[in-house]
This record gives sequence, structure tokens and C-alpha cells, in this order.
Amino acid sequence: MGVRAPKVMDRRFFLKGLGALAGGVALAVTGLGRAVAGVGGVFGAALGPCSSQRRSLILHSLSRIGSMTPDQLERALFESGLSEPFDLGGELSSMVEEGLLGQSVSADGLIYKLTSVGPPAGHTSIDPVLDNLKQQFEAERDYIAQYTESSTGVVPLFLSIRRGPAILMKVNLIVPDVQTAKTVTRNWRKNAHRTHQAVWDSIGEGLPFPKI
Amino acid sequence: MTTVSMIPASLPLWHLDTPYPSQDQMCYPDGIEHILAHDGRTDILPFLHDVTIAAHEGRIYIAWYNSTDAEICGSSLIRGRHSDDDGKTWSEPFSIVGKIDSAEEHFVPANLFIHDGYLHATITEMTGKNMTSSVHLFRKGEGDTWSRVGQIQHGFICNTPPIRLPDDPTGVSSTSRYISPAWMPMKNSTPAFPAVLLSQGDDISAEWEPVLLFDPLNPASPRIRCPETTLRVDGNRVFAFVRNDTGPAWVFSSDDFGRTWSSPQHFAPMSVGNSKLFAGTLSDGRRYLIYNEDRGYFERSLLVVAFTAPGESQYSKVYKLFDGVEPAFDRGSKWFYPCAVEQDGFLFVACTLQEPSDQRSAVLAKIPVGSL
Repeated sequence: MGVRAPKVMDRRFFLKGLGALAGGVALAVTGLGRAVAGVGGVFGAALGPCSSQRRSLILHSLSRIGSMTPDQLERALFESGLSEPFDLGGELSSMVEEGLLGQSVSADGLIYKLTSVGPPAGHTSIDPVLDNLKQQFEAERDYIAQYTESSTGVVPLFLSIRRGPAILMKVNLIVPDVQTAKTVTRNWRKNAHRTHQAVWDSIGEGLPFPKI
Repeated sequence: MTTVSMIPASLPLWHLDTPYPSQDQMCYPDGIEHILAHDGRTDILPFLHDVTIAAHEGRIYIAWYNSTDAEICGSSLIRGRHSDDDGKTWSEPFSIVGKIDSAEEHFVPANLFIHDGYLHATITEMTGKNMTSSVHLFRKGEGDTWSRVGQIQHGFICNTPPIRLPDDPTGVSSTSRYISPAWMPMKNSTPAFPAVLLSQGDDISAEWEPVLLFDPLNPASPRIRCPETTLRVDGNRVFAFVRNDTGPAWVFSSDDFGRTWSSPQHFAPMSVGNSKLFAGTLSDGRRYLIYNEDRGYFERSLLVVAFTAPGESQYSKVYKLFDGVEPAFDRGSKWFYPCAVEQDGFLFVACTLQEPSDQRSAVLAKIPVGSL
């Protein structure tokens, strides 16, 4: 379930709204959500976004999508190609200290939200990407993928598909490291429905796929 | 929450004029008695951990979590026993929450405390190992029946019981609050972090407010894999002792009833291994801290208790509680995850015994307070 680009400009999407922040650099995102503006990503050059640009992106993303975990913010900013990777944790931490963001806790861990300070205006051109992500995050509420640490040094991974309170499928895996866990987590979110179908095809003996 | 300093200072919690004893110099308190409260070798459930203890209406209660397979594998449930004769004999096990035959349902762990004349327990629910979803409050009813009275937070783990805070004379902090130590395990890319939960005054079934000891996303913050926490309350000052798996244990302090916290500090020369600690206060005002002396990574064979003098802040005396193979049981040798309560002139310290046969049992050290 990759990030779909808006259907404009030959499947390229120019982030005009960020132009001023990015020093006038036009930003392009492919259909796969990858930045195509060179090694500097959407902000151009190898320097990456400056702090005010990072903050502006974070605030606008939260304003459009709503509260997010650090993992969701990472995906919204980096995997969608809106920005080259930067120290998101450090930026969030500073923004909380300065009262620009609120930090709360949910069962999924930390959650970041806007405070009354509000987001800066003028980034509407990236809204289609963010709206798409919002839909994706909502759909993923049924595709759960979480990993944690254990004292044995391996990483337990818990994957499930839910529909309301019902758990349709649950898979627990042990993987050797966090990097592998991240990859599997990401792929589960994209492919959980296909995995469910494949499992059923191999064990259902031709019976119809269960509709719950 | 405060900005974290990169260089931890040391908090002088050990009395400066008293040499910290070597492990060889540590002695058992006079009159100590070792008690087997629940024999895991004869139980259907092989894994037991995180024993909690409370005294209520003349009775000693203990509770723990069992897993039907290894640690938090299969299903995990909360069970307990009680004793009407200060630990000499124990009831049959009772169940607080969880079922043996449920799949992937985990209640881990329980912390017993008394509120409004009733025995309560904070209990974390998980969907998988360390996949925490909620913290529930349970209350004991008639007989050995327990009922859930509310969900008080989301995915935190509480390893030691809440403590009643004194009234805040400034009125800034509401009165009659409880403060509970807590921590949240790593959630995807967010590292684990310690916290406290503050009740809404006397209404302990309503959601408790979380206060983080530090921001886990701050690059300068320490990374603590299992920040199991215990609290010591000295008036408005609160200390949070936190397990550390990559160095000496941490201590954080708060001067405003747990609303804001200092940077992490160590508390040398007290030598604490990577295991849960337990802090408490005797009725005569002496503070105590129970911990595994450091004998190496996960070497939890020596459990000790350090005491202050009455009304003093610094610990100045250390006693052994369990050390290697204990003659009373003729076996050992790991004793860990302590919890303690004072009753009838005795300090009862409950903990987990790792049996040589791999099961786990619940054991107690019963110590005459007058001998300490």
C-alpha cells in the first residue's frame, strides 16, 4: 500500500507551498512517494531541511492528518518523500519543550498533537499526499504490526488483522534484529490482506474466504 | 520533564561517613526466617514472577503472575495466596484475573495496595510479550473474588504498588493523590521510558495522569531497556529508582510531588544489579531499599536491604536477605523482584525464587523489625 501521488504533472507533484520555506526549491514526489529532487530530497542540496522547514512540515502534517505517533510521522515525512530523513526525535523533543507540540501517551506509545499555537499557513499543495496518508493510517488500524525488545536479544514481532473487536488472523514471529522488524512491520501494513488471502488459499481446501 | 544532562551526577544517598560494606561483610538480620509461600515445583503453571505483597485486616496477601509457558508466553494470569498466621501457613491459590486456557491473553504483573479499606491491585494487560495495552484497577470483594473497577491508563507497566502522597500545602498539587511508578516498553521506534502515574485525588478508578521522567525522544536521554521503577516519598520530595541494564541503576528526584523530575543520577557506592528494586518506609521512619547486589549481568543471587536511620535520608546499613543456596530451602540461587510490607513487628520481603529445576516459586524473608 504505497503512497499514491496526486494525478497532476505526469504523476509528479510540486510542493509549491513549501517553496518559500525551502528557499524557492521546487519539490517533486514520484508515484512511489520518493523524492526526485536529488540527494537533498524535497529541500534540495545535501544539507536537508533546516530546523524551521522541519518544524513547518511537522506542524502542517499534524494539522492535516491529526495526532500521530513518531512512527507515523516518520512515514509521513520520510517515506512519502516530503523530506530527507532528519533527527525527528530531537526536533519533536525541542518542539514539545517550546510548547509548539503536545505530547501524550496512548497504547501505541507517544502521540504528538498540535497545541493552541497552531500550524503555519501556506502548505496546501502537499495536502493530497497527507490526505492519502491519513486514509492509509486509518485503514491500518486493522493491520496491527508491533515489535518490542526482549531480554534474549531477539525481537518478537506481533502481526494481526482485526475487524472491530474480532481478530481475524494473528502471526507472532521472532526476528533477529530491529532492522528486520522494521522491514517486516512496514511490509505487513502494505500486504496484510494479501497474506490473509494466501494463508486461506493454502489451508482452506477451496472453501470460500471467510467473511466476518 | 527537564532537559537531560549528558553527564550524570551522583546523588549522595549513601551516608558519607560510613563505608559501604563489601558483599562478604554483609550479614543476615538476627531472627530472619525464610518462608516458601508458593512452591512452583508442584504447580501446574511453571512460570511465576513479580511477587507483590500487602497486609490487610491482619492477613498477609501475596500475588504474582503465572505464564502457562515461558515468560509471558501462552497466557498469563494473576494468582495469589493469603496467610492468617504471619506466613506460617498459606491458603490455596486464588485467581484475580486471567484464564489458563486463553490464548495470548496476558495480565502482567499485579501490585497490591490498600485504599478506602479495600485491597486493590493495579494490573497491566498485554496482547503479547511487552505489548502493553492498558493498566486496570481491580478491587477485592467478598471472599477471594476480585472485580475490575476501571482502566486507569494505557500501555504502561507498574512493577511496585502506588503510594499515597502527602497533602501539598501550596495547593498546587491536588490532595490525596496516589503516585504509581510505571514504565512503557519500547513501542516500535520509541525507546522504553519510565514515568509516574498520578491519581485524580481519591477517585482512583478514574484515569491516572502520566508524567514522563524524561522525554525518550530527546537524543540526550538515557536509553533504558527495562526501566522498572520504584518510588520513595519524603514529603514533597519523591525519588524514583530505575533499573538499568547497561550500567549502574538510575535515580531521579522530584521536589514537587512528582510533577517535574531531575536529570538521571547514579547513587554510588550502592552497587545495584540489573533487576527491579523496591523502596519502602518502616513505621518508625526508617527508609529502606531492597535490591540485588551487582554480581554481573542477570546474576541475581544476592538480595539485600539497605536502611537509613529514623528520619534520615541517607542509607547507612545493609543486610543480606537471600544469598545463593539458602539452607532453609536447601537450594537457590536466584532471588529477585522484591516487594515488602510491615506487619505485626515484622518486615515481610517477598520475591521470586528461580528453582534449579527451572520452575519459579514465591518466597518470603520474615524479619523482626526490632533486630534491624
